[in-house]
Amino acid sequence: MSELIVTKNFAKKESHKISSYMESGGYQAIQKCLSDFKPDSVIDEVKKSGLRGRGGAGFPTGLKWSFVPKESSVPKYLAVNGDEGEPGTFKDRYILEKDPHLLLEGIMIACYAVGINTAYIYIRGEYRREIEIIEKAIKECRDKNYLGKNIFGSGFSLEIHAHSGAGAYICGEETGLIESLEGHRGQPRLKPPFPALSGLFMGPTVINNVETLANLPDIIMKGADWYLSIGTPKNSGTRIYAVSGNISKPGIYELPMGINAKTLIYDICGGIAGGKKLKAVIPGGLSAPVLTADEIDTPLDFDSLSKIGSMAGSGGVIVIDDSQSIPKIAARTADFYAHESCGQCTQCREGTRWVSLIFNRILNGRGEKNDPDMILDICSNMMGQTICVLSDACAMPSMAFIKKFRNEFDALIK
Amino acid sequence: MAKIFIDNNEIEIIPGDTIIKAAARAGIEIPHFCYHPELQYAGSCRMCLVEVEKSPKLLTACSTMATDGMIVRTKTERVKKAREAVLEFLLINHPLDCPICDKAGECPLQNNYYKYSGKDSRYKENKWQKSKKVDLGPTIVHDQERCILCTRCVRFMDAVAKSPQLVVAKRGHKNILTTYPGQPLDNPYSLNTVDLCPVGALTSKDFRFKCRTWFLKSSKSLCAFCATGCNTIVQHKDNYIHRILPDKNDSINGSFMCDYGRLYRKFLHAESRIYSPALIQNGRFHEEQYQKAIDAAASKINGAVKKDGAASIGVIISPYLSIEEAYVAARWLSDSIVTPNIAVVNYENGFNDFKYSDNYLVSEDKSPNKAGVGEILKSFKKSAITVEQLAKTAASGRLKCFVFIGPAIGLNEIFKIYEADFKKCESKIAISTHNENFAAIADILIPFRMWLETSGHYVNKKGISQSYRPAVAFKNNEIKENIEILCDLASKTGAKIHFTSAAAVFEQINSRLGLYKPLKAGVIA
Repeated sequence: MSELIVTKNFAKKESHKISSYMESGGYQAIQKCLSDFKPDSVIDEVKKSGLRGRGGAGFPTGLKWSFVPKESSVPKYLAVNGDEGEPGTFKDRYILEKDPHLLLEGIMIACYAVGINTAYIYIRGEYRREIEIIEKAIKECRDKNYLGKNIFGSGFSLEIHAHSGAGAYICGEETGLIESLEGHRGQPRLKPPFPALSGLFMGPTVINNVETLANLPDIIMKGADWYLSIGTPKNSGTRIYAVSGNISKPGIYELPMGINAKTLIYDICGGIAGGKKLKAVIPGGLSAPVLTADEIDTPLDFDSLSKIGSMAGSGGVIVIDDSQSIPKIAARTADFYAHESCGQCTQCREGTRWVSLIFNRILNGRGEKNDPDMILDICSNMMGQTICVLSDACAMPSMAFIKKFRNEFDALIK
Repeated sequence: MAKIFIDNNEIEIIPGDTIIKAAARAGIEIPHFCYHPELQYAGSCRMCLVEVEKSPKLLTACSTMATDGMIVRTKTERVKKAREAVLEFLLINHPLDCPICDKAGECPLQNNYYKYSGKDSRYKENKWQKSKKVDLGPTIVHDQERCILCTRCVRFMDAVAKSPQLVVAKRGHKNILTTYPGQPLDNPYSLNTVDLCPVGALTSKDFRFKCRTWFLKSSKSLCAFCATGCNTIVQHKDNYIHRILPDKNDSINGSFMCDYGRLYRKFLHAESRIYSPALIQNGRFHEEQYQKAIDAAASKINGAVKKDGAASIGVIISPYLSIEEAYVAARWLSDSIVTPNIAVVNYENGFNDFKYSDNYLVSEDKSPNKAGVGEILKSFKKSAITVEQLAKTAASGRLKCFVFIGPAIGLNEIFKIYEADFKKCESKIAISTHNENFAAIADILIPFRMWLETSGHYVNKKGISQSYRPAVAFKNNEIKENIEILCDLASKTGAKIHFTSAAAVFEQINSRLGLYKPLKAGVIA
């Protein structure tokens, strides 16, 4: 097994407690930052490490931080994205549950680097237990003065608050998350202004995914060069792949970024469940365009998947065996996005439902010859036209399902 | 000077310009729904998508700042397809009940569809059904199915009316515009949302199902509800006013007006309107010819003056009079009937249900021309007393005759207190609009036109004079214009005043008193 960064403490007894975390060398990285690093050098180290956001877009983390102005007349904020709504994704949940202090230390490092004194962890509403765990962890830190004023006697102050979502996928979109944190209806904001300049409470805001932040303590302790040695040059470090579907051993797997999908499925996860044949793989959460069984000999990293017209997304790998109906999956996918659209943009509000209705009509044997092509055209009208990418997230997989499995749709249409 | 290029047109830009603003100044139309020049942009309807060089995606013209050298294209195939797509999406769940929709004929959704798409819908599914008549409050009924969720109304209530009573609830295609649970939409600016609505979703209870918009004729006018003097567009058919809308005037009311002003049309069409002169003897009402009524009034006045002197005459002037009407009255009161008993009605604190005021458009003073009437009287060195003071004189029996001039609007409350006092006068003459209060006890009644039926100038509380012209005709064309009525009465009672139009009076006000410079013809304020 390769080196573990984010999940290394998961197997330990009571790993969620501060005592366990301290035994594993916890909170040394933040102390190292506070004593040995200037904030800028933390940013430089993270830039050098090549760490990319694990939420979905894979944006370089250090670069994102550097967009935030050094001096600001209003408070700056860190919003931690633990909304984890992408179907097929369940990695952040385990970090919150098994190693909350790793996340808290990551938050401390990020806040120190960017000059932030208040951070919010926005946690998916369904994650009740995880919220309790993270709140206890925050309290443990406060009791030890690892959080609060003048932490570790460094002069740096930081408060972290946990905030529960209310069950809306769209609040995982970073500006939707900000709106929700502010107490508003969760719907994405028009950009510009970008959050780095004016985000939460009009302050410059960094939004980082839980897993992204959990990488930071080891990057500080072991250095950027060490981090770069894992994974591939432009996709450094490890990634938690959440594997689900028709797979023998579903679960989360922390592996070097860029692991081959074939290796992951057959060698690591024990192949397809029930001895069936592989039909397709959704490689990065539900919004990632599907790969056919022929396409899976590919590294699961941001650039390789984007090259073949899909995306690494959130790292949720959904395995589909040959007994499954792609039109059924397509309909269920579109249903999900129709249900989750916030409805502010026309294309998304109307398009997601329309596409879902047509898929369902085909599924129910009332499809018409032209329907698949019509969906493709409707989807093309939904792509790249809206405030956020939920519309695209519905259109992209819908188009891929039709283009790659057209025969299955045509077979349902009389 | 910084400039941008839209479809190869060079357009100078000013700081703060978005693409759509710069385009509008140059006369280039970029279709839109959620954008409105008076509101913060939302960028959500996506109808204004345009191509901007160097941008891989289409950008919303409403929210994209214009920067020097920017090259914008609005007529490419890509833009055309995006617009057609938005229109198709908007219409799939739209009920398309245009034949019974009040907005038809002035509907941006209808107009943009015909102009930018015109294609048949490919939608074969059932439309998502919502409520078609939600009572949002005293003024508005909401059709949720027609609503395209542009949020113009929400943003208006938040930012302009400063009363966030409207919200979007639920999500996705289930989204509905609504109020907070149990709360009505009852802000006095609520009806602006009906104008802002780019579809027929928000309908005015006062106007819905009353008239197809294409039958309406529009006349520019003023609002007489209060001393703000909002500019209006009066819409009418067959001399009946169906709707009053705000007209843009940035130095007075911007693009909006209050609900009171819009619904003020009801006073014009009230059942108590007076259209014929009448003599009332022993409680019996005789319609009379105009000339005979004037003669009767003059003889009463002349008789009282002869017997008890001019001071036995009390004149009540309404601040609804135009400066021209006030001028004729003031000259009469200087040239022949020189009485100290000149009262000007005070509407300072409103009347009846109209006591609301705020710091936005609704003034405390609920009269349109207090400033103008006051200034005219002042220039004739006349000092006015109050109706209360005049009532005391009447109570003492020293007032033999009162002449009420102007609309008998909003006086019932105060009149009730002094009714008995004014009834003591031997002669009661009302040149008025409604058969109420002073007019109701008069024994000589001469009809008077309301401002929407005649011409003149009002001076608002800021001292801005604005002209108005008739929007609708007075129902009885045998009755002379207000100015002529006042001239006729003055001439028959010893003064030599002769004007045939308000314009001629205005000229004299300007040349003799040096007040109120004339504006270019046809320009209001």
